[in-house]
Amino acid sequence: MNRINKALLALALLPRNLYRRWGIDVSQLSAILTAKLIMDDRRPNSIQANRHQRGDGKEVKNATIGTIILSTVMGLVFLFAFAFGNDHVTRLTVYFGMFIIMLCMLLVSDFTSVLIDVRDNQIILPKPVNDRTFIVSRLLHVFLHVCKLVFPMSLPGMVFLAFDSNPAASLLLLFLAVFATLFSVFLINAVYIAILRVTTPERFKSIISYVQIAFAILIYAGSQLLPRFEETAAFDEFTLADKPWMLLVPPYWFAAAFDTVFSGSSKWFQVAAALMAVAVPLLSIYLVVKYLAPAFNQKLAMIAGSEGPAVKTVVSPGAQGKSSLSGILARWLTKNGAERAGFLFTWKMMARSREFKVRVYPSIGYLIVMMVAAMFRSHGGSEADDGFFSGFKLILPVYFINIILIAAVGQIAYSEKYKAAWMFFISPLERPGPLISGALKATVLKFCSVICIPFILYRLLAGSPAELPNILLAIFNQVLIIFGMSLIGSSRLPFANPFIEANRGGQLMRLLLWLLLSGIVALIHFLLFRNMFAVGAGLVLTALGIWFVAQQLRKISWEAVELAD
Amino acid sequence: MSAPAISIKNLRKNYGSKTVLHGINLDVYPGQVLGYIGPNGAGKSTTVKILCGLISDYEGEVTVQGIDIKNDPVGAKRRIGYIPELAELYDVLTPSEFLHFMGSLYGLEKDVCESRLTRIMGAFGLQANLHQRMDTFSKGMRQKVLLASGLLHNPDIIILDEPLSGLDANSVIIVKELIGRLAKDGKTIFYCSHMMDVVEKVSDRIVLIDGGRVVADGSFEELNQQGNQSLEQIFARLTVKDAHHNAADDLMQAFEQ
Repeated sequence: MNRINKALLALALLPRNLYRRWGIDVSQLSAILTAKLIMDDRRPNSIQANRHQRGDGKEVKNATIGTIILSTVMGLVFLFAFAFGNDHVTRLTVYFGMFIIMLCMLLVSDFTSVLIDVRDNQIILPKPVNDRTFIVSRLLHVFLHVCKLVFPMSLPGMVFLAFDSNPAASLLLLFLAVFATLFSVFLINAVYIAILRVTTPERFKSIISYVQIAFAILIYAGSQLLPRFEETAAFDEFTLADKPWMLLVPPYWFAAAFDTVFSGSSKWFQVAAALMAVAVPLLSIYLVVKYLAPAFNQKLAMIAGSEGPAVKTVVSPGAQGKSSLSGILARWLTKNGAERAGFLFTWKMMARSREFKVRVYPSIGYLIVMMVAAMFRSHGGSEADDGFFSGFKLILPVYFINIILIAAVGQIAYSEKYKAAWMFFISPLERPGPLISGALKATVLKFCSVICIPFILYRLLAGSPAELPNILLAIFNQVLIIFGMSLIGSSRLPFANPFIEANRGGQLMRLLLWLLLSGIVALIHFLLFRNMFAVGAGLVLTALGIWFVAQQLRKISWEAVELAD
Repeated sequence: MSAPAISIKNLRKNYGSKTVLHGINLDVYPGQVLGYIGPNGAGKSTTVKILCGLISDYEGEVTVQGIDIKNDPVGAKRRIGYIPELAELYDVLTPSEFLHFMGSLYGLEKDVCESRLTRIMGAFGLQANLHQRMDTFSKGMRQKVLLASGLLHNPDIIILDEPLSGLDANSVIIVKELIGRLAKDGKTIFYCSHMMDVVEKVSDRIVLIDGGRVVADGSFEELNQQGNQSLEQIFARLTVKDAHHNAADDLMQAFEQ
């Protein structure tokens, strides 16, 4: 254990006489907390999570320090809040808004993996540990974990306030941060219980992944759009201070409390908000301890035990094969046998594998943001300056689909359950090429159509059918590039490799080559796009090219496949 | 005979409207090795979980060395060593750290714990892995750590649930011999398994449950009154209700097209 954890443990065990009076076995409590803190130190946190997937990564040590640094960096990011608006209340509302959102995000991901460890039920419960000791150990562990997040997170804000106003202000901030933390814990708990009531923990984990995806996209969209707002005067004048409806927005309570204490404001709703900043967290934590936590533990015990509802026989959508969309597409696009199997396997895995979605879906979001931003730009102002160029600009977004395709094609080779790939190796396949081409077809088709079909519909409605050949050519070009890159790059079987972050250099080279190719092709397309004859010829040529490369992909031999181990 | 180490009286347990145990009665005495067998879903795991104090909403009376599990679960748990089948471990810990942790939950002195765990792990041939994180361990190595964690506090009652999972032949021999020696020492062994040949060999009393009821209880010789049957055959005779020996026929017919 490192020093930070030792100090935290000593802190948690300070009221040992009080614990004893409550009937808690202090030596057991200390043993449980020690084990938990050691494990926290070895469990990769969110920044290190990708580094350590299997035994092949470096062993994680001192993850606590990583967590603390990460939290401090986040605390620094929160300082942007002080660039907003024109008064304290507005800035602090934004600050606490970011604080609460970030803390909730961190806690949600930790709750599933760290704080509510279902293994406890198997390991600790059969041991002679009484309920009180067990529950207090859990609460203290949560408390220590939250301390590791909250203090570093509020430190930059405290330092800033100490210089900007005075040390008392920074203490006040810390005080309010503690209340904001209590409120966040309540939020997480309530959400968790509400969700567990309607769904299973497994499902819940996927829901969390979607929240994380949405959040990543939101941050990206923010970074794209905020600079544009910043140029406007409204950005500086913007204030939330005198709007009573802000009472409904929790971060405002804490900001108002700060302002009320600090500058002695006496607007009725601000004082009311300040009272809520103290009362609501206290009330909510009472609710957590009194009602939510017991229900929660009960529910968790259910999950771990065999008491869970029996496995129901349900047919997954698309599992019936023939009449499903994937079945029809597979019959159109693939030859019978290994290629069709590869297509259907990949299609279903992409739809059902949570890790794949977490890694790929954000890029779809980024792309949509980029396309919207690009259209924004092409609609705004500069339309008159260059009619020739702006015509092509309407097609240009299609070339952005390579961002999704790179992400998706780059990820289909990997899986957490890569060991299940033994099935490929015991099969009497002469060559794995058909599997790979089937997988590639499924990926490209799925992700192209997600973006391209809405885009085509949009252009047909907003523009004219005459644009269609150009849009199709752009799509075909992208598909050809992807297929070609897959042919010359290293071949991997779908979902058959562990995630390793090694060989970054090679990946980067590939990515650059890919972008360069896309750029050149887009340039050629740009030079030709007015000439309908050339576009038509291009369509035929690229279609032939795609067909040819697909044939070559089917011929990939076992020797050419890069293996997992 | 002395007082029973484990006493189960009219034990019933429902999951919702489904009754899993329909009144089990069982006394197990010190020095006995009880083989507890039954088909999937017969209620074996439920019985074990109740005995280990993991499930408390049952009807009937269960006592361990005279301690009612419902009234004093902690006291009962202190006397029991539970070795689950391929169960979870905190696998980022090392065996030494994990076993020390387990030991302190039973209130073992650090030195005692240290000397016991080194010896146990040494006997299993895991001395060299004592300070290596368990996330790289094989199934068998994990099972050995679980065995160690169940025996560490020298319990009077040992509950084993499929303890040989993943173990190699040599370790199987060690564990089987160990069971006999522990019983000779006056410990009570509750052995739950699907491996009929092992149960037949290690246990001196066999209890067969099916559908939440005890359908047979006695030594292997007593169960084998017709003579020359293996426990596997007895098991099949007592638990197969429909003519499922035709299953193999059905399977073979599946290939006939």
